[in-house]
Amino acid sequence: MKKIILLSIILNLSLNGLAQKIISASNPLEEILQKDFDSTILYSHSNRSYRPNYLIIAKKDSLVFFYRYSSMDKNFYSRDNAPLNSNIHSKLISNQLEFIETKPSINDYFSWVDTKSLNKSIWKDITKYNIWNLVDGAKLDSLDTNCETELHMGYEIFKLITKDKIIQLQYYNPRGLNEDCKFNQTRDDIVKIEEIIFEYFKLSIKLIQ
Amino acid sequence: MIKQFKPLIFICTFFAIAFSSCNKESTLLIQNDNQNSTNELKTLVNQVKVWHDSIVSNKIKGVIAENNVKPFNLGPDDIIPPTIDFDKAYKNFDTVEKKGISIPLEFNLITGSYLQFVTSIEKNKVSGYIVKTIPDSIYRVKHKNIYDYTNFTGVIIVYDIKGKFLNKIKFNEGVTQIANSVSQNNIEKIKSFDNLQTVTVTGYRKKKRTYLVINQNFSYDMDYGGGGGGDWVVVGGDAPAGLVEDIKTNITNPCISSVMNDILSKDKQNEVMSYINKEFGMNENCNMNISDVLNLTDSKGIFVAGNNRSIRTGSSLTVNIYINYGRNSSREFIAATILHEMIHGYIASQNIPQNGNEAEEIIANPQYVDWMSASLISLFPNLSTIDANALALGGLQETSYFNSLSKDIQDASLKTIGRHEAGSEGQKCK
Repeated sequence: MKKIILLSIILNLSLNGLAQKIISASNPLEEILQKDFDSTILYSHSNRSYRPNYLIIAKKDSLVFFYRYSSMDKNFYSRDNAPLNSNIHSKLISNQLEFIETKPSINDYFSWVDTKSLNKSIWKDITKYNIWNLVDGAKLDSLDTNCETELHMGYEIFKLITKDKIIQLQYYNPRGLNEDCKFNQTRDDIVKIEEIIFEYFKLSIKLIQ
Repeated sequence: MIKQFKPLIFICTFFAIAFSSCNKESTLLIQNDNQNSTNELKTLVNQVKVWHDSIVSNKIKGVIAENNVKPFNLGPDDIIPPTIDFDKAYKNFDTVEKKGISIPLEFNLITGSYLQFVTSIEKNKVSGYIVKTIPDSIYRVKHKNIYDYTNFTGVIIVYDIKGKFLNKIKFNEGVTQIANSVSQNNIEKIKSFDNLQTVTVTGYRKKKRTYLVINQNFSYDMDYGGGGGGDWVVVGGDAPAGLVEDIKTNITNPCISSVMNDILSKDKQNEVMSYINKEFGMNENCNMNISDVLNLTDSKGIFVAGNNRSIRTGSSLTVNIYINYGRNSSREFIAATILHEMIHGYIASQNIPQNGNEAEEIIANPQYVDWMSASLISLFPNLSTIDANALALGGLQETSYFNSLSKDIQDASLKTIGRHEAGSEGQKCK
């Protein structure tokens, strides 16, 4: 019996290894999180016009810390944000460019949101979906046929940071693909995880502002 | 003791086998640091060049520069034989493992159509052909490695070096489907593909094995056109320069409209547009509509520069492209966005699935960047190559190709894209 358990553990670990992308820290923020916490979930949304803003959920012992790394302006370069060619418009654009050109770290864009005990936080709700073992979007079954889904709807990116490694999971428009194409349980899990994260941060950010 | 470790040994062996077999399908064996191989290749190339020049110079009296043989005469069924750059030569082995030389002439990034000059040398006799390989669209998606012709499905067309059509063979999973579709002039000489013993092409074999040995010094120039070894030779004839009247535009923003007009202008035709033209300007079943939308957003309600949705009804395809005009991006950025979306439309017209991660991964490669970059420079002659390359990477930042670039290039490209998107750099609309 012990042998079977051992075998399944090794098999499981190996298959996960093949289905996930292991990366190294790509900026000071990730390095610091790796050093300071037991494990961290770094969530971001990315499209061709949008540079990552991070929602961060970091666990240390029995506490979970919530942070945000973001620029103030969600929709970069909107021409409606000030009269065209005005000083304010130029300044807002240069602020955004500065954000893009700054390596994520513990700087002015980084802010604390909340701290909760492990049992009372969304950590357990997220880990219920077994996020650490989910298969990366690129490794999910090919959809094979043209399913007429819209392009450039954005990627959902999770970096799962622990002391020894960083797992990157990336999914292209999981909700859209599940609606327009073939249903996939992993994509559905990702949509649910996103909903939990968004709901929590939306509420918490409102409370602190 | 051994009994106790038996399961572990079994598991380790199993995974060793599993890991070692990963991603072998398209692996090329590349011989590094093989000076003998380099010298041998140079000798072979010289032989081929002397032979080729003598054949060509017998046909026409043109300028024959070092490593740069000019095209020659054409017939009605002929391709236009392109300039042949012998510096791009590499060694190959044909299906009977005869050593030969291949020189890439043209590679169509989207269709995977690959034109090469192939030769073999046997008992000091050199023979050669121009071989065009057109993979089936599904095969193309699955075999991104242009040298991997394992279980090839598609068409191979063979011409002599004067550009005369010789043979056309259809393959299905490595098996010949329609042989002997030979022009009447050559029917006596060529009865099947196998008769072309001197054609030296890579692959076409059913079994996976080493089918190609490349000397690295040469292969890199060839792999990445423009990456140090000169660009791909562009061959005319494939893409007709027709009008683009069937591309319907519904653009209200004057800036986007003027960029759109430049892109569609016959005076500023670029290679990307010649392909778009071919499918959407001349094919009744393929329609493209381009509109501009104020504050176009993605699935999260966040601004996006452009998006695209293809709709199939029976045999017809409609590609709807939307461009965001809720910002003051540079004309170069707008052009890059429109061309990028048009390329997605072209891929749809080739029936290549573009779902999820695949959509950007399909076009994320050095050839695409060169292609887009060249088109942008043809539209904006003052745009630097570095900036054009950066703009060509727009929308590809989550692809494995982008991530394979150096961090410096990634950062610099994102900054350039950001500045153009914000309109703080590049041409502004008046």
